[in-house]
Amino acid sequence: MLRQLEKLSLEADGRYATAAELQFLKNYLATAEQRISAYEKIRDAQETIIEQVDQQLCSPNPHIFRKGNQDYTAVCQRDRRSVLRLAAAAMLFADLDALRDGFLLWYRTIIKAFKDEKAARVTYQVLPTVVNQVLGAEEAPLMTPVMALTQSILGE
Amino acid sequence: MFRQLNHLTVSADGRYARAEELNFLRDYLASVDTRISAYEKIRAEGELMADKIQAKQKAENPHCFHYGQRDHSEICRRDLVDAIRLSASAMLFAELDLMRDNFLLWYRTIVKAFNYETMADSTYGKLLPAMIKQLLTPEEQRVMQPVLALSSSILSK
Repeated sequence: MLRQLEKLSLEADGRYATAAELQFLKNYLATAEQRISAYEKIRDAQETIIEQVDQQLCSPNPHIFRKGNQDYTAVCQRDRRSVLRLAAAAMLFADLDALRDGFLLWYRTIIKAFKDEKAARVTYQVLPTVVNQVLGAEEAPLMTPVMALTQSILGE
Repeated sequence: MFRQLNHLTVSADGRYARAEELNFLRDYLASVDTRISAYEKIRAEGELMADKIQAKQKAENPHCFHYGQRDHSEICRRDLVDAIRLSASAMLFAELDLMRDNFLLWYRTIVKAFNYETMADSTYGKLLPAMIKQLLTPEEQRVMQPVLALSSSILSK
């Protein structure tokens, strides 16, 4: 949204913005209230979400975050918190490109380097369901594309 | 708005945005429909407003656009059309800072260099605000007023 907005303001410097160009602002406006309330719900429920994901992952496989003698539960929790926060921000600003280019593609290299693909796959399978539980029926669809993007980059 | 929005996206990278930080977005969004409709009206009428303003000024003083030997009506009209468009855009994006820094302060130096102050005063201090007020609803006028006041304070005497 921010990128489109900045582009539009540059265009509108030299000529008037057309009706079609103003449409995206109207579209964003139509969902903005739900975006803000979804963002606030995720913000306020972040610890619950993180814990629930943990429980769902660890009950079938208690050692999922263990490598050799080390337990990486805490590191994975920290990373999951970042993913959730950045995903919520991408939903709020309707800016999936920035999430992909600024975070997900980099984080994918980390996952691969540490051979964490399996844990990542189940994590980002479970996360969307848990997130949806804290959102209302109108808010959940706004988060779906972000979660799908996250899953497609981190979980495959 | 851009500056605030940019700032917010950077903040929201490292931590969740707080309720009060989201308020400016709410305030802006609450006024966007009004801003868009005001913008569309000004888009439709911009050129015509410039013509009407010049016609009034010429009616008062037929030589008001004469500097030296030449009539500069055309150049003044072009600048006025630009100024109206940039004002509308500043209102649409709630970006008065950019308008001031990127256009008004520069245009002020042009106005001064050409001793165009009296005309600028009549255009930006009186005629343009009056014409916009006629064009817009009171609600639209409320979002446009700060831009007009800024232009007037910088360009008129």
